[in-house]
Amino acid sequence: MHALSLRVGAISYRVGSAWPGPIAALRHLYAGYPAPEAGFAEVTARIDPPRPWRRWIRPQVAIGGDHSLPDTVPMALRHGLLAAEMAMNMQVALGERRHLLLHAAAVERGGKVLILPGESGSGKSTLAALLGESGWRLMSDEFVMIDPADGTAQPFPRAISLKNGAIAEMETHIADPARFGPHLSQTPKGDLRHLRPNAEAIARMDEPATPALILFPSFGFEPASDGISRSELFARLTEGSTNYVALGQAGFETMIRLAETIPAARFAYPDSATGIAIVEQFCAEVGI
Amino acid sequence: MTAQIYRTDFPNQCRTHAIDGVTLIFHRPSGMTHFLASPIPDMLALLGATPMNATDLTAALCGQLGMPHDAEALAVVEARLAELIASGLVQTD
Repeated sequence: MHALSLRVGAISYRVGSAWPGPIAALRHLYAGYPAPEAGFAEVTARIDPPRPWRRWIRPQVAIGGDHSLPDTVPMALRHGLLAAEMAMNMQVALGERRHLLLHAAAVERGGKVLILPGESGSGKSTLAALLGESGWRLMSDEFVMIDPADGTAQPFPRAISLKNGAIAEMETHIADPARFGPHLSQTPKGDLRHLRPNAEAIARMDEPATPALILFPSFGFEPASDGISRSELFARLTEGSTNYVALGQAGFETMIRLAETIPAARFAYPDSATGIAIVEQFCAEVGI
Repeated sequence: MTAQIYRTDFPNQCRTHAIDGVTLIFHRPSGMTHFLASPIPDMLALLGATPMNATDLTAALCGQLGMPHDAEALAVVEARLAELIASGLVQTD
């Protein structure tokens, strides 16, 4: 058994694998991340062969850990790093109970958090990655964790999952090749490469901040923007939260607070430069 | 159908919040969240105060909203009651 323990914000992981390769790739990607406090990981993520012979013959990885989904399709071992990342995501998506999860990226500036919810392909990861390299602190790529007690966002700076065209774009922005994981081609999510957040994002992973603006991006369209009603905001954030139902009334209260107090809008953009200009314009209007 | 008595655990088992002209309800026993538009919250409030059949509920609701109490109103109320039963917010005896 090969394993790596690390902490990302409020989540401490133990990631296990039957093969050394994915763990070595994960160790490289998460270089500089702290170990779990007192040495105890709270969450176990695993990638294992779905059948014993799949360890050796046309090797396949199945995603598992403390929590698993019965219909998860095994992946080829060459995509083991992606499988490990998905296993880590799944443990949080299905198991986290201390925070309300929003399916979103988030960046912070001046103590105020910009939340970028969106489905895969909306451009949230690319925008957050670019903002994280230009004066903002990257707080999250996939899950924004909201503390039900005070409504603050807890950082969760996991590796950023860059897909397709975003890979070349970020490669031109970041000089340090050691921050990138390997190129993963023809994965179920398309071509993919992971990016380690910068040193500031990792060093400040225990500093929460206050949500101040929610923007829903849509990549690939002519520039446009539109307001979002509070009821629609509630509905869209709720449908993108994997643990809203599990949190019960605490989740309801936390979501109400977000929907009632945080300004929100949606915008479309054809390219990253335009998207960032629109984001900065919105941020200026709300004093971020 | 109209003799059937309808009851609800609203508002005691619910957390409600008005937002944008709709009413959000968190139903504690089921853990479900509901978006309700008028006159559904009014129907729940009436049934929560007094369990009653569809005819009496239609009369009370139409009186409250200043609308004519007729067969069309009864049909609408019965349709909404069927939806509320399916959602678990209303039960029948």
